[in-house]
Amino acid sequence: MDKLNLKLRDLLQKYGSEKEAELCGNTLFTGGKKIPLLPWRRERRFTEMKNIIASPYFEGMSMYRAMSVRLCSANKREAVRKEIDLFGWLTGDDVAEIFTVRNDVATNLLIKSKKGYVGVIELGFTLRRKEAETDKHEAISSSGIVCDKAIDTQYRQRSVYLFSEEEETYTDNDFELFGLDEEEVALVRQAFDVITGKDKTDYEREYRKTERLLQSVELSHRSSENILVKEEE
Amino acid sequence: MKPVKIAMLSLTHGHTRKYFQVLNENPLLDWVAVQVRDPLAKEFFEENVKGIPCYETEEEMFSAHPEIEAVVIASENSEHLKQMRLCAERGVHILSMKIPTFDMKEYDEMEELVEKNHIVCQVELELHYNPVVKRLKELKENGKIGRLLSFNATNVTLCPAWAFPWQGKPEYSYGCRRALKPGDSRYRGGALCDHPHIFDLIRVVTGSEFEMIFAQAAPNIRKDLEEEDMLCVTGRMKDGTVFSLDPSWGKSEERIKKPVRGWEINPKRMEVNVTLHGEKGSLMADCFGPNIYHNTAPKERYTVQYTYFDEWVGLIDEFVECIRTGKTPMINLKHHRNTIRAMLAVYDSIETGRPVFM
Repeated sequence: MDKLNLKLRDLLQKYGSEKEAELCGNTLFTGGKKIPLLPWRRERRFTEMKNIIASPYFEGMSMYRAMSVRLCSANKREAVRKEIDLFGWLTGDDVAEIFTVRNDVATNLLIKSKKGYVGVIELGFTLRRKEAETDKHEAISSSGIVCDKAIDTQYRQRSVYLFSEEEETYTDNDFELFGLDEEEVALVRQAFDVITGKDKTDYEREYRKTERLLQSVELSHRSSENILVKEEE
Repeated sequence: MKPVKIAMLSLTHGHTRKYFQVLNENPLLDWVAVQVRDPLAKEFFEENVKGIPCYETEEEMFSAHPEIEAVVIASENSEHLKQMRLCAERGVHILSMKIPTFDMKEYDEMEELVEKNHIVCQVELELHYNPVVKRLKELKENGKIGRLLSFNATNVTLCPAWAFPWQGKPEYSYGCRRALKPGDSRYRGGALCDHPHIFDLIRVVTGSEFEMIFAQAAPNIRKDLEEEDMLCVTGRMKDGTVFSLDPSWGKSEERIKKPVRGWEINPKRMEVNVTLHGEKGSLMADCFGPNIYHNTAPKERYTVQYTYFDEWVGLIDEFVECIRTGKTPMINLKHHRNTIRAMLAVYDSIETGRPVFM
């Protein structure tokens, strides 16, 4: 059993759940169902960003900016899925229009939500080392900004920097799931919340929404047109 | 090199304060006079500069000082053609603010004036004299990231319209009142007009021109501003480079009449960040960082204190050299035309909701 499933099993046992469950990539198999998760929604930084954006102190939402620089071998489609889903989820609004420009190493999306918020998503797939991957997410409103990177920084801070014979960095943000990185923690936590009923999101429906958005991304790229996203029928 | 006898016109542009320092300190310049009509601008000048004569009209200044060889045109965009005519007919060289005009007929006349009167006209795009930009260009030219395929940049600042009111008035900033798009209460003339730098930088770094531009204007974060303050642009250059450019006024500010300490609400009042993706890797640059940080008076807010802003050294070096040797500056009217055309295409794309093919 891999470490993610071990940690999930331990968590379920700790909290008295006897349900069988297995994670395979971002898909959760439980209770005879196959559930496509969107684990980034459970990353601590994004849940805190969403809390701030949803609060009464964040007024007059205007623009959302996201950038991500990934491995050249990264799954581009999944990277786009994550970022376009994050835009809708963080802002609490659905994507209405998509414009795509793309080439071998870069994908840029200029999107508009139903309420008129504008989002820009800049993706690069150029890196050779996983450790170099970086991203940034920012929402700008009349009442201020929220961002997952400190002002004046280009790289996200890590919790621990080790300078020894080798240089290492760590970010640990979950005591119960110590040893998992932020993305792994988010995946296990979301799986746990779904299994135990704490998270009642219809992830199959949400996943279908992301599939429609990806189709619109592709259509815009091929046609060089601003595409109006169709609703689920 | 013999110092250039230089004057300043209008003093209503946001960079005026910087030029007070430059004209005072740079040994290549001999500051002769200023012209200023605006009472607040005049008051600010008299508080900060001593010993430089001040005239109300351009004609008075030029009559009193026939020795003037060059001027900094530090005025609202709508004044530029009139002032260029006055300079050109006297053979006075021009350092123009970053938007000569958005009216392409006026632009034609400006180019003609410069050529016919054999004067230097340099456009102030000071980013080219920024050391981080120099490093970025060098690394790209040396093939460190391989063939360039993507250029993303922000040129995001606070809104200067409360301190420099003309920037919040479409007739002065854009040149006329033209609605952003049908049914929109906003007009052209806002943030985009303040931020040409990255539209120029991408042309210089890629060596290519714009092929296709698509833009969206977001809801204003300043609801009472009658121009756009938040927008984003994407598209493709003719060499295939894809781009994303953000020229917004996305950093919030105190609405004060004089730019002083405590102006910032967002800690960083200005940023130009560039990300290049190439076949062999990526490069991320902060053209104005790192800095120092404080939360002292007057507002006790966490604020960025910039540690370098010396682009005007290189800019003036080039201006003076061009005057003395007859060379053409790197950023001249002819070069700059396609940057202005691209910015007009941004407005057209917002207006129509469609990409513009150049």
